[in-house]
Amino acid sequence: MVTGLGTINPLAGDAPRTWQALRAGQSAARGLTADWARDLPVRIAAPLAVEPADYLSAREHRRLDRASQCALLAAREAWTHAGAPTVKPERLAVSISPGIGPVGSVMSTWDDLRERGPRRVPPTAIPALMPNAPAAAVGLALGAQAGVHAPVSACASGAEAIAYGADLITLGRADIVVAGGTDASLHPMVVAAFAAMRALSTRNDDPATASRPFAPDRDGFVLGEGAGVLVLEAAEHAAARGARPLAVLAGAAVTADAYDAVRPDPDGRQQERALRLALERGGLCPGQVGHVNAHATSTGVGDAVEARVLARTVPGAAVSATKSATGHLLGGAGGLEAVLTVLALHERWLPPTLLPAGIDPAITELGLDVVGPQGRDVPGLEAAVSTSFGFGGHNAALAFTHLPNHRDR
Amino acid sequence: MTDSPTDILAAVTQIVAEEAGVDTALVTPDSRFTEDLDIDSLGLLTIATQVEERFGITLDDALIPTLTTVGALVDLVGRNKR
Repeated sequence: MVTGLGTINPLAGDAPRTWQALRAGQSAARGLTADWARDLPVRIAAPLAVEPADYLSAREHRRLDRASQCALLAAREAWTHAGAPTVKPERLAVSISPGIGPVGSVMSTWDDLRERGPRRVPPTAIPALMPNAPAAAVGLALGAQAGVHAPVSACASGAEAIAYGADLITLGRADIVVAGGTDASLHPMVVAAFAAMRALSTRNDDPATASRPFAPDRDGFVLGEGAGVLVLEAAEHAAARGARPLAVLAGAAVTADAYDAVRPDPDGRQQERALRLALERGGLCPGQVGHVNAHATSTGVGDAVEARVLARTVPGAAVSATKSATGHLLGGAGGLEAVLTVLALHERWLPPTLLPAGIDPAITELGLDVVGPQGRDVPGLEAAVSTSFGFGGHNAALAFTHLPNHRDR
Repeated sequence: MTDSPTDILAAVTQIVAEEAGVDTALVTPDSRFTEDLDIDSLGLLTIATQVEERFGITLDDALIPTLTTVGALVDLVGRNKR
């Protein structure tokens, strides 16, 4: 069961305001005005809508990398949303992953070493920069003693962390898992590195429409930052405390292409297998899936492969590409998009895909039903999927269902 | 430059208060790092590092975790200054 959700992202600092911004058709991408961006080939991004410092204690802000700050704020919102459940610490786990990790702390520690010498490297550096730092910060804040995990798989990390969290509950190792993804890597090194891969949009003069998944002239993603977190809870535990679940995480799956260091397998076989496995584990047939929150970053190859996979695997599903509004949060993407998929099911409204240049004819030909800029009401929506496909062929799919009306799942 | 015991106390108090996120008036030589100021092991190391930088000294790494009060840190700095 999903009993709580939270996020901080480029559109807003919490889930309700994020939903409002999506309903309003807003785009979070903007030009980077910082000095460090002046000489970069890419000078657009989707920075956080609010400053974490405004919501954290001075010590939390000082100690934690920005990626960890995002994870902590999203987890706090999700925890409160779930009703701050009473749970034995030994039965509470955390599974929160970054895709890139606390890179700001890595770079600032390196700067300290070079500029001020080894004695001036702060003792707080390692706990700030380790890849599991966001999960560790949340685990410490909530007192999670069943385990604190951070399975990292490029841009599928957030979704994989949620899949892993579901496994912990299915295996009986925890009653509640706080699970999601985070990243905050708007650093010149990261921008330059993704730009070197030709992965980023270079629409420097038109940031608001630069992220255009499925468009004929898509030219890469817009780097965003933020986190999305779910509270996953065993059905019996939720029932025993009288919690009102939001949705059911019916099935989850992870696969790998084992094909190329960066590019997805053009056939999308393992993407398709992740999707089918998630549905199979959830006891769902493809025809029941009414909505997919696609990974759809707006890269040329990535969108084309995913569009073919979705068109042949869940041909009846309407597809939203919310990265058109939020940018690509890397590890945070799977977390945020899981939050948005749960909200879509709960509200029975599909978030928009901003389509300033329409849809690539090659994608239209597939018969893919892309939700347009207005969003869409779907009164009968019963099942929805969130897909996450990372560089290197890391694939994750999460299948959610509306609360069962006549039987427990 | 020499620092009097009062100078050392004032500087250490400033550094400790900043790490603890409290007003300097709440930090006294008797203040206990853990119980009174909610400073953990990393916080104590951060304070020690800043004290070392401020006074140009090197504290014995083995002694830092044994410091329980602000006064004990001031004494250790004083001994290192001599």
